Amino acid sequence: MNNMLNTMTLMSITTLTTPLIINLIFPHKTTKLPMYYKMAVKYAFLISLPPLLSFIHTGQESIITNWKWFSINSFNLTMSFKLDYFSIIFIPIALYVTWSILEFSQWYMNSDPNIHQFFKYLVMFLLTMMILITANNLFQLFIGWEGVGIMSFMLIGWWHGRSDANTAALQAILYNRIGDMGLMLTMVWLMINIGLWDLQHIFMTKMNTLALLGLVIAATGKSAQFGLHPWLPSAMEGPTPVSALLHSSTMVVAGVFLLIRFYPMMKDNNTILTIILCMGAITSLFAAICATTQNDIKKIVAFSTSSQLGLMMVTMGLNQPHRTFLHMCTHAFFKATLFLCSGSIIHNLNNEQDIRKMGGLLNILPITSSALMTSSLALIGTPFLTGFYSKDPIIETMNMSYINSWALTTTLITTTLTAMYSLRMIYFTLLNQPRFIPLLTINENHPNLKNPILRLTLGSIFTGYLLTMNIPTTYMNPTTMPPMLKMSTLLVTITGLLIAMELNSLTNKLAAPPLKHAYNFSIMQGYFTHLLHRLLPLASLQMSQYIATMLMDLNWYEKIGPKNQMNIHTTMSSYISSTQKGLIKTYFLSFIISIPMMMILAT
Amino acid sequence: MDMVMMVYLFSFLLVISFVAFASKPSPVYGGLSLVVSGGLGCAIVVSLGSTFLGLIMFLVIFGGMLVVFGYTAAMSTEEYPESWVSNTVALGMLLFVLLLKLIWYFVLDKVEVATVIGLFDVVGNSYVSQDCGGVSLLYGCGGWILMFLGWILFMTICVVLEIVRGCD
Amino acid sequence: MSPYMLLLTCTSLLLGTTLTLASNHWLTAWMGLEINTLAMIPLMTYPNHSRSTESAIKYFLTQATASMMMMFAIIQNAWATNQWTLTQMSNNTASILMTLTLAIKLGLAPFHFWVPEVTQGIPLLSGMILLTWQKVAPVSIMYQISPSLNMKILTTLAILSTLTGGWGGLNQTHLRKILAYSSISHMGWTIIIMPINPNLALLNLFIYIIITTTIFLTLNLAQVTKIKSLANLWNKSTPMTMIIMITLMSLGSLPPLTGFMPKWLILQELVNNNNIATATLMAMSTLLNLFFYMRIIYTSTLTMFPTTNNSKLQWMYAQTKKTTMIPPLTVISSMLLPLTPLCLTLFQM
Repeated sequence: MNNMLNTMTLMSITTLTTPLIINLIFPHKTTKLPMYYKMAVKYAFLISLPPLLSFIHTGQESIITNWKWFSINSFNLTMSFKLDYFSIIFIPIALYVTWSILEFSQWYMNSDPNIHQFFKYLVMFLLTMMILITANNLFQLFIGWEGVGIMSFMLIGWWHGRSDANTAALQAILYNRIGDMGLMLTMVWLMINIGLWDLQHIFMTKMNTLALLGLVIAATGKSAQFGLHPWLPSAMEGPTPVSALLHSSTMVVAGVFLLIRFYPMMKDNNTILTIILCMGAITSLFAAICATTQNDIKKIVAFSTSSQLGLMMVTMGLNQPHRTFLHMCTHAFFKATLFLCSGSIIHNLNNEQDIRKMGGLLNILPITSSALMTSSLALIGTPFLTGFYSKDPIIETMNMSYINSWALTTTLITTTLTAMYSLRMIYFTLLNQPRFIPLLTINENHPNLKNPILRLTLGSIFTGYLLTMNIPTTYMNPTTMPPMLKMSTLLVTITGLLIAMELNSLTNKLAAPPLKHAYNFSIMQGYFTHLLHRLLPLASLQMSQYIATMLMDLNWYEKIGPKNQMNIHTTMSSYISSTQKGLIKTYFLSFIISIPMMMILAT
Repeated sequence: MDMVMMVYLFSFLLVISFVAFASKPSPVYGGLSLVVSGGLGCAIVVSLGSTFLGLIMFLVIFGGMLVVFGYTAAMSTEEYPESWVSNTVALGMLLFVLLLKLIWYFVLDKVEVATVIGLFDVVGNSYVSQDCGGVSLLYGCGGWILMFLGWILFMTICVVLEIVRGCD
Repeated sequence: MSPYMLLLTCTSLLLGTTLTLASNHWLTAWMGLEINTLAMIPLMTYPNHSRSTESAIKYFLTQATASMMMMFAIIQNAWATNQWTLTQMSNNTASILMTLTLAIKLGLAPFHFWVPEVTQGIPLLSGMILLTWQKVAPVSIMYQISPSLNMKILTTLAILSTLTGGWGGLNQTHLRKILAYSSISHMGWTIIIMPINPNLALLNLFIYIIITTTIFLTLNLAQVTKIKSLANLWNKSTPMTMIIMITLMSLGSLPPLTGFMPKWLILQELVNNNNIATATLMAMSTLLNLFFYMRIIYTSTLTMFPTTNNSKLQWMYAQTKKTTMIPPLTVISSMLLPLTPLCLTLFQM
């Protein structure tokens, strides 16, 4: 059994490389390549199922080390895979989601001339995420981490003819670079203080607050937590399948996953836990506020991702890594569904993303509509859908804990807001009369559109139940609580729904928004990008320019450096030449002055 | 008058005659002063006891000096040659140095003449025959030096001729 | 000049230096220097015009002063120590005075005034002799009395010379003056190392002489004395531009060329003796020299004279002047660096 676990998990990862190799060997035979990619991911998913079942059956974990990479003095680096609870569960989920997304892309990106390249990028994106998930040492993890970053850059900037797409891609890579600094800080700290990068060895030692703070910064950058979040809504400039993949099973969850990996180091450090908790709560609330008023359908979904990532962080701050992981897995399903549905709507409405110009799609796109509603309800945390199984325990645990009532309140408000923006999106896109041009040929008959959405909707309904049933009981601490607290999640959610209905009726009756400032704050995304992307660089550039002109141009070039050298040499040179007057008097004057002087000084 | 006073007198006159030709009167007077100063120099050497060396120097210098004197006399065709009296600056300079020397003599009231015997006592001969011994050594073991000296004289005259000959 | 006279002066020129080199007695050394000076005079005044006569007079007066002071130093030494052996310059005053005298003869910094002006007034070949052969005798005396030289004075003179050589050459347009300033600064390099490693000083002088000879011969071939005229050098003889470029770069001590070798060794020796500040200053001041060599190179190889060429294309015709010496000298003055170990052995270091 042990052999099967290792072999088949690695085989499923290796399967992903086959179409890449085919592309290398036959670089010009590209027509069937997208299908190959999709098939490879599909088979990889199927191959990864036996290890999953085996794991659920026996609960065994393993570490595979199969290639010594290099060693610097006593510092050994090996290619090493860690197949534990997290990686074995997450690999099939990521493969399943990606399989659906690739199939959807075959329909969505059909007209793109470089579709095979697009697929290659997507698969490489997934592959780097697999490397990250299975890495057993920090170097390998770093390769996956950077690979995810660079592939997201390539994919967000896929439509590189548009300046917005390029800006968004640059924003993503720059914010991620700040996060990478944190990861490097931790890696360097470990190398200096412990001298090991293997996870199982690191877990036997202790890390101090600085090293853990590096990890938190890394997670902040990658998972778009408050402060480093602006790249996430901007990344919506990429094609919708990219957004789906980016937000469900790769990239943004990498940061959370890093923290989950390192929870044995963090569980005793209250400072770090509090930082994570507060940061997650702020992110969650902020993103939810922003999502409430956005008009771009993809931006709403993007902010909801940001909000859910904040919730995951909050759970990490509660010291509940397994609940975090559970939410990460369930979130992958309904978020991928949401994106595919919005992709379907956007494509059918001829690249229209503004929800104010949609409406009435319920009758025209029934499959998409039902999937959108199901996944939205799952996101809200409707009982017995996927989101319920992960979100409800989180809030219950938080209600039962006695750590930070501010963070608790914030999260409850966020839950209300989640219901609000989800309902708002459904209301504007699906209900009422259509507000778009009637000449569009809208249909959802293509199997490449239908099947992935349906498959993911099934996932959005059942996965939470399946995963919760199969999580080893030791990971979950059962809680007991009064019925009011048990119901609190549901109650705030329903409150959110009611408020949203009320707000929408306000909108319909053309009443002026009562809270102008609050509305502006929300729709301008908290003025965050304006402050961070305009004012700060402006101040920094102005100061730099001032320093550059003062220090470099004036002081160095003019007063100390080259110009001054030139002046000195010109002066000295003309001085020396002016002593040469052709007079013998000068010669003897120099003798008469110099010789006695030197005689006196030297003797 | 003892020897010290005589040497002092000669050196006094030597300085005066040097100032006399350095203060730029007509070439003819300058030449005259040069001749006088040369003679005085030889006199000092003789007073210090090196009679032979003094005599040789006197002859050699006068040989050259007469040429110079004759040359300057021939060159100065001016009707009223400029003397010290006709040049205020030159006369002032002469009188000033004279005054300085006298003041020095009367104020300090102390005259020292240090004769540097060791300088001439190269070969360690006795006091009387030192210079004669030097001459004999020059012609004896240092004969090859003479050859060089002759070469130098020959070359010097050639160089002088070549230069004063002007353009060819 | 008549052939007999030429023979006489050239023989005396050689004889004087040889006498100084060979002598063990101060009197003969002094005598050699005097012969040298006298023999140089007719060579300087050879095309007899007022400029060259003026130069000759200036040269004669300076050298006569130096000779007088040298005689004074010799007598001082003989009086104090009672002997005339050349290597025994043990009296302090005499040794300082001798250092200063030789500085005048070599044209080191506070006494450098005569060098550019004398060189400027005389023909190219006489200038070549003045800046090369005439340095041999003083340096040989300095070499022999190097243990008793005053290091402080020598260092001061050397640094002043390199700086003066660099600065003085910066705003010159006459090639002979530039080469004179270059000589001043190279003499600085020669004597900075004299108290530490006299053999290295000889090596430096040797290589300086070779490179300067090459440049003077090349300039003599084209008969140019101004930077401006160098722009027409291609018309006289095209390979000469290349030779001038390489040789000047070597004179400016750029690494793959011969000129780099002595400077490198000198800097190394200075640093080994903890004279890091001196070494830095010397190296930096040589950059000034390199700058005006580069200006010559720029004019001669990279630019054309800004008017149309009215003269005949002379490179098409056979050269009337002898160029026998230029190629081997160019090779030596540019390609000796790989033979550094051999040179070190040759100068017994």
